[in-house]
Amino acid sequence: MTAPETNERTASGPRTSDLGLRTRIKTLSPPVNPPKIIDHRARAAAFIADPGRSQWHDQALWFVRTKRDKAVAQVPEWERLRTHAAAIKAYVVDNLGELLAQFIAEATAAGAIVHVARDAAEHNAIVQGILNSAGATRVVKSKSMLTEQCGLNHHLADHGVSVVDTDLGERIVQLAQEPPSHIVLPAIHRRKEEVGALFAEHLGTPPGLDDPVALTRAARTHLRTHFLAADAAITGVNFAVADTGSIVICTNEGNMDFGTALPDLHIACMGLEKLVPLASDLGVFTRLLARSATGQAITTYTSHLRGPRAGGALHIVIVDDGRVTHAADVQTNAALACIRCGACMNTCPIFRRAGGHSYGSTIPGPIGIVLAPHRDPSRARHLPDACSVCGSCSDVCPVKIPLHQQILTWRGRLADLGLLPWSKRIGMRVLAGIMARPWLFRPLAWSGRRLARCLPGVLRRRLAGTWGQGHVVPAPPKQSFHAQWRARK
Amino acid sequence: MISAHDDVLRRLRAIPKRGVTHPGFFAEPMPIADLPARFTTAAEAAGAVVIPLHSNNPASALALHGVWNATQQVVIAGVDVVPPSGAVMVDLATIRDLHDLATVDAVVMRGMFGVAENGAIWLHTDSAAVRAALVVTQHLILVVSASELVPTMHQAYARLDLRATSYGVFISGPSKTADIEQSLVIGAHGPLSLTVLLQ
Repeated sequence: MTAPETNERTASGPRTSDLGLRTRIKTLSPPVNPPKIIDHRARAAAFIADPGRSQWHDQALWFVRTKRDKAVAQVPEWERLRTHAAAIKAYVVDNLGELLAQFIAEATAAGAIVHVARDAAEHNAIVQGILNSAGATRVVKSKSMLTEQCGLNHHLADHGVSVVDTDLGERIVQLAQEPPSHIVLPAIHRRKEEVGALFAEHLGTPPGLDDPVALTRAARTHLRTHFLAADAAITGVNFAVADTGSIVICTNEGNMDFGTALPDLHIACMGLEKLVPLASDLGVFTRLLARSATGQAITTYTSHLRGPRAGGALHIVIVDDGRVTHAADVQTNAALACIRCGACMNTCPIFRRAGGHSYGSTIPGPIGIVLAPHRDPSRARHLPDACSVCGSCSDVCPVKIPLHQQILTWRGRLADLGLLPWSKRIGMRVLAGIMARPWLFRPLAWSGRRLARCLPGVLRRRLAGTWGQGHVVPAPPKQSFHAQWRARK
Repeated sequence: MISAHDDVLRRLRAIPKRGVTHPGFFAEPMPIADLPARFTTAAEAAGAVVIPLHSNNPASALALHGVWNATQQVVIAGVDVVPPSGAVMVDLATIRDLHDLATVDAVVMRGMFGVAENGAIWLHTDSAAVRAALVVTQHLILVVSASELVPTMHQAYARLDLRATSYGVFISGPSKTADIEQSLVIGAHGPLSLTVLLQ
């Protein structure tokens, strides 16, 4: 496996969009055409081929997880909050039709123009249409995983609109021409030296500069010129309040607030599952979101927009793109409760070591594993295997999505769909046959144990296949567990 | 052809209901005994500088403040202070082009109330100029009354009427980022500093 590709929607090649300047960009990890099947194992192998990076990545994310734990410990009612949030979201998923209609009515009454898109192509066309009719060509965008998933930047670039991502992490990966590797920390896979090199090339910082403060200041200056020059802003949405028609957007950098403050046109793009019924529900979600995401008590900016600002226009584009089908799937629709905090990624032992690009999906990590097969089960067939079923993701999830159970559900479903490789299918059938017959299992286990004891360790590791990689495979004991158990009795 | 709007709503409504009920308001959030103390700790943790106002005069506290004294262009809205000597006062009512606010160094405004658990301050406005000034300025100074503190976000939302405003924001600390190697850097796109005058 060579390098991570762009997200699933963007088959087109690298492109830049700095105020229309098509500069030549040295790509650190060039996008390739999206594969038909995501080979998580090979992609993970590519990331851990640099053990220093993998180890650093692991520790950096664990540090965030630790900060989350400290923040959570400050809130004695944390578990009640999680339960409450899960109950609100269960209500939302059960009443999406009514809440969506209510939100559209309220937002429209407040002066917003609401659009509905069935899929990514409709979404992109709507956004492009709004920009074109306003004559807007310079767009600043604050972080939005939805537009990332829809491949909006590439679509707009193809139609003469330049989009500058303004979240620092998003800007870094945009300059590097790669997708974000994490939904909250988009550039967490990049070291500061690499960011320094990118900035030296694109922002003209001194070569070798790798101090995070100096680099952030350089980005501030650079992005300020884009903020001041923009004629439209595109943002995501964290919560959409059905009762009031408000949208709520949370950032630390202030990029949403800055981006939408000056231009007259604001387009907010949201998946339809972002709805919450009441403004009072925000009390629950704002207490959970930042603590789960970064260990902050609240994001720096938690902004509530209702209708356009004076003299401006606000468009809200609401996207289905598989969410309606997902909502009808009672076994897995709890995953629609996700508030995109990223806590499941920070705690996942596989994500921490293998990196977000190994999932080949805009939303990586445990939540990505349970969302991706909805979009394309064939393409995502290996993703549920990127899990040790430790359950840590479910434990930290602020809205109590039973992530590891859903991953198991998907393993079963993908097997039922006939999407497992032949070797695995036959192997599992043979194993099931043996396990169900003690008279067959015992002599086979006995001879296997005998044989393995005679083999040198190196050979045992070989025979253990991928399980032996990076591990010592000890010699099996003289007696089987069964015999030891009997002897104790 | 059926519109996407009607199509999506029709398909959503066709999903059989399970009769889930809304859980209602969140009951009994944690009590906080000393609201100003907790607010101060939380705001400082978010990177703000909190200055208690012992007298009722923000001007005397600001006079000792380094950021304030270096200010060249200042916006003062709803707070009774005079600009530092030599500074130009920008009147938001006369702003024609919002981009003119790009050179503002400091904004002094009054927050409606603060939240003790996280140090956030609520402001809302329907003015495009106020909204822009809040985030375009290099430094932000917010005055909030110690008697206007609520314990948690639940009480905060109970005070709010989101229908009443086109823009309302909880601000906790100056803008910040940790997108480069998880190193916290204060001052991303918004203000480089936030000073809270706790009155």
